[in-house]
Parts: sequence; C-alpha cells; structure tokens
Amino acid sequence: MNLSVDRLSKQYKNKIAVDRISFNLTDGVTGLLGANGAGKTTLMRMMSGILNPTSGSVTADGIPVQTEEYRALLGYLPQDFGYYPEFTAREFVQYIAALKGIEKKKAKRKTEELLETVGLSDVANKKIKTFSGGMKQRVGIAQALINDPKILILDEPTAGLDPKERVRFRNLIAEIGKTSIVLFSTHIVSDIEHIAGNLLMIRDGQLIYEGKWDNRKGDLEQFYMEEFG
Amino acid sequence: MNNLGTLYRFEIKKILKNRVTQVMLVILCIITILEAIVPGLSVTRDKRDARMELNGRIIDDTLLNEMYQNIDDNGHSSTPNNEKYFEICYLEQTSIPGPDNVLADYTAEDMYRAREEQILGYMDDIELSDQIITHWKETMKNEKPFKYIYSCGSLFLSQGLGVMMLIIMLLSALCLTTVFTIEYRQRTDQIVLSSRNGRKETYLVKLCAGLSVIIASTVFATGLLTVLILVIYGSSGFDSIVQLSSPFSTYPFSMGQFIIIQMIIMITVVIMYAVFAMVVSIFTKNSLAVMGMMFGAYLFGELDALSYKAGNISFLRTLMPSYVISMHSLSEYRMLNIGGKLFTIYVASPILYLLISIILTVVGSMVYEKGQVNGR
Repeated sequence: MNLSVDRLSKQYKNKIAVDRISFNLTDGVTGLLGANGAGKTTLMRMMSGILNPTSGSVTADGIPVQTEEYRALLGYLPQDFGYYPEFTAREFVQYIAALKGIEKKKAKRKTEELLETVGLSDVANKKIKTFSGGMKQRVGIAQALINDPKILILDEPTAGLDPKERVRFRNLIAEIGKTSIVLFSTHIVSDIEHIAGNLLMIRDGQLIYEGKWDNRKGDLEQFYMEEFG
Repeated sequence: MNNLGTLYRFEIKKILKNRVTQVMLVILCIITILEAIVPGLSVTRDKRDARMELNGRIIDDTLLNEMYQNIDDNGHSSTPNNEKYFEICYLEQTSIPGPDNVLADYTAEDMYRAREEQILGYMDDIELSDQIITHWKETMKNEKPFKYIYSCGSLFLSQGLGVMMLIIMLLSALCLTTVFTIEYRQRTDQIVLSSRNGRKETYLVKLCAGLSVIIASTVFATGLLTVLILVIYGSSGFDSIVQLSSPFSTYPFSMGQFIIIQMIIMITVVIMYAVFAMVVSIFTKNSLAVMGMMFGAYLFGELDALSYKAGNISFLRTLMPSYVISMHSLSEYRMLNIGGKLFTIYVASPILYLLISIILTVVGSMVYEKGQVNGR
C-alpha cells in the first residue's frame, strides 16, 4: 500500500496550520515529531478524512481520502480520544467494530482478542468512565485496531501510558507495521527511536525533515531540542 | 444490514442511557396517569350518573322544557339532583348571547338559530371568503337537532392528548437533541466520522433510533391514557358530537372521530419534533439552542391573543401542533386554499409536518455527510 500526501495545506483565517506538505508512506512505522502547535494533529485529521484541506490531496493507492473505501482501510486514534461514559469497554469496541463495517461474529472475536492484547480483558464489562487515563487510552488503541487497518494513524498514542504499557504498545505497533502503514505522532523521542523506521519532523506547518534517522546524524533527542526547544 | 442493526441498537442504548431521557420518560408516565385521573375529580360519580340518564335524548323542545322545570332564571339547577341538565344548559347559554336572557323564553329552534348566527357573524368578522363560508354553511345544514350523549371520558382523553403533546415536545427537545451532539460533546466525532459507516449509515441509523424512541413513547403514553380513561370513565361518549364540548364547532365529527384525528396528527407531529430536534442540533451543535426554538414554536401556537388581523401569521399559528391537537381547533373556520381547493387544518397540518420532516431529513443528511472536526 502507498499512502500519498501531495502538497497538502490547511489555512485558517490568519494562520497556515499545514503548509504544502508532501510525502509518501509505505508499510512500516513512521514517527511524526513536532512541537505543540506545529500542525501534527491538523495533518493527521486531514489524513483521516475528518478535516477538509484548503488544497492538496491524500490518497491511498489512488483512493481519495473522502471516500468510504479509504475509511474502510483506516484506523485512527485521535489525540483527545472520546468515549461514551455509560458504555463498557467491550460495548465501545463492538460499537466501533459495527461502525467500521465488521461482521458481528468477527467483531465479537476481534474485540476479545484486542481487549486481551491491550490488557483490558479483566475490566471489559466495566464502564469506561471508571477507567484511569491509561486504561481509556488502551481502549482507544483497541478501537483503532479493530478492523485490521492498512493505514493506522495514531495521534500521541502513548500519552497516559505507564512505562510497561508503553513497551507493550511499541511491540504491538512494530508488529502491525510489518504489514500496514503506521503513522504516529509523539513528543517522546524514545518512542520514535525504538520503533519508527521512518521519521517526519514538522515545524510551523512545514515539513523540515523526512527520512530514516540513524546515529550518524547524531542524537535524535538533541536534534529535537535544538530544532524545537 | 447486520452492522446497521448493531449500530441501531447502540444508538437506542445511547438515548436510553441518558439520565435526562430516563427522567422524562418517568415524567411522561406520571403526567399521563394524572391526566386520566385529575380531570374527573371535579365530576363526582353522582353527577356523571345523573347526566348519563339523558344519553341518547334529542335536544329538542321536549328536553328543553323538561330542563326549564329544573333550573332557575340564571340557568342553575334548582336542585342538586338535576345536575343532569348541566351540559345542555351550558350549550344553550353559550348559543344565546346576553347575560340577561331567560333561557325558558327560548325554543330549541331559537337556540340553534342563535348559535348559527353567532358562527356566521364571527366568520364575517374574520373576513372569510365566500367560498369558505359556503363550505361551512353546507356542513351545518344537517347538524341539528343535536343528540345528547354524556362525553366526559372522550373529552378528558382529547384534552389529555393536548397535554401529552407538550411532554412529547419536551422529550424530543431534551433527549433527541443529544443524538448527534453527543458525538461533539464526548469527542467521539473524530472516530465516528473517520469510520467506514460513520457518515451516511450513521446519520440514517441515528434518525431511525431517535424516531423509534419518540414514537414508541408516544404510542405507549397514548395507549396508557386511553386505557385508563376507558377503565375510569367507560366507553360512553365517544359517539357524542363535538358540538356538545365545543358549541361553536362546525366540524361534523363525533368525539371519537376527533380523537382518532388527533392521534393520527400526533404521529406526524412527533415525527416532525424528533427530526427537527435531531437535525437542527447538527447545525447548532447545541442542545439548548434547539430546545429554545422548539419551546418558542410551542408558545407561538398558544398565542390565543393573536388576532385574525395579523393575517398569515395568525393563520400560521393555527397550523402549529399545540393548536391543531387542542380542542380550540374545533372552532377554527379558516381553511387553506390551494388552487381553488379548500383544506381544513386537520388535512393541511399533517401534510405540512411530514413535508418539513422530509426536507429537514434531506438537508441534515447533506450537512452531516460533509461534517468536519474543526477548531479543536
């Protein structure tokens, strides 16, 4: 699969949030680094089809982002992940499965598998409103994976996770990245170092770095502090 | 289809899990029960039994003369036992204007003629067209003489439906305005809109779920009210003419027929309320704003002081659900003229409500499917 972002821009009244960004992604994990307000979330929303760009395009193997076909390939975890307080974890994931068009039997099986994977099997019947921040985030990760997405967009997925959960998450994403396109944004440089084979850096809506990062280029964290500190 | 069924069940769950919905449904049940019981408290069993003695009697000179033996000059019963003439007395007092009239001076023919003159006089006052006046004259030709049937049960049911309409409106405003806004409020819109079935299918499923809840609530409450009324007051009175409850009505209905009309119109009103609450909330993203609009429209329908001189605004008011469902509408003579054909408000209003529902559904679909997550 090839995900193509071509001269994508988003302009609000007096601010350019994303400024003519272009890149191509194939199977594998790509990290998106940038300071607060750099345009990461705006970029990811346009790539998820929930925000119309001012100009430019996003296509997956030629399929435009604003189509049902594209949405069928997509798994998305937003930065400010929302939920229904009165739903249990199981109900929520099953609801998202129905939204994503997954057949009922398969949805039930996948739900149980994913709740096990993210370590929420024991509390699957508890209401999400009773969960800690980390547990809610894990529900978010589970719903993003329910349709075995070919394109997985994760906006600050490790926020709220403790170190153990973060390691678990990294392993999960690394596994998924073998057969899907994964793009995740983060402030935590070590997340990128451990799992991202590819790196995008964005500042003031513009792409300032694209490609692999290796130690010959220096310490990534130091580079990040110099660019965004 | 499988997914749509699952989505539908989850949308119903979202609506019913809402605390406000649960409270409103309980209030609906309580109000329905009170509407069945409370109006009858002012009419004791003795009075009811007394009035039912006259069931089936034609209101003619024989009955009126009998009544005159049992009332004073002011039309009050001369003895408590003669409460049975109360409603006939009310009919005559209303038909024959003037506080100083002695009822006993009038025959049945005088009463019917005076009533008709008042009606035609009012039609002149509100400047009805000749075509409409001719229509009502034709309708009134075969009205008299009236047959008396005691109708407290049917009257209470008819009035109760009007009150229920208000509760259903509040139920729609308070509970269904969250069907779409919940996604915005709970920040689940990002996940929903980015899902395969998150646009067209979700829109349809949400509308269906909202309509299901409100229609089921209406049918339940209406059924409960009807059953309670029948149990408490019996089934007598549903074949009485509406003129006994609304003396200046020119409609050739029985109370039972009027109640059926009310119920049919109620379903179209309920559909319109539900679609309005859900669709307009997509635009406003604010439940309170939509509630305000719905309540404002309801109050507009209650504006009794709005004179016919306000022209189309006044006529528009007569098409508002709160007016159409009420007993007041039985005295509405204005009609809608479309291409030379006349339509009463009982025909025009449900068509209008369904049309509004269809337009809102289509417009809502276009807006929802293009929805974005912006400004957060």
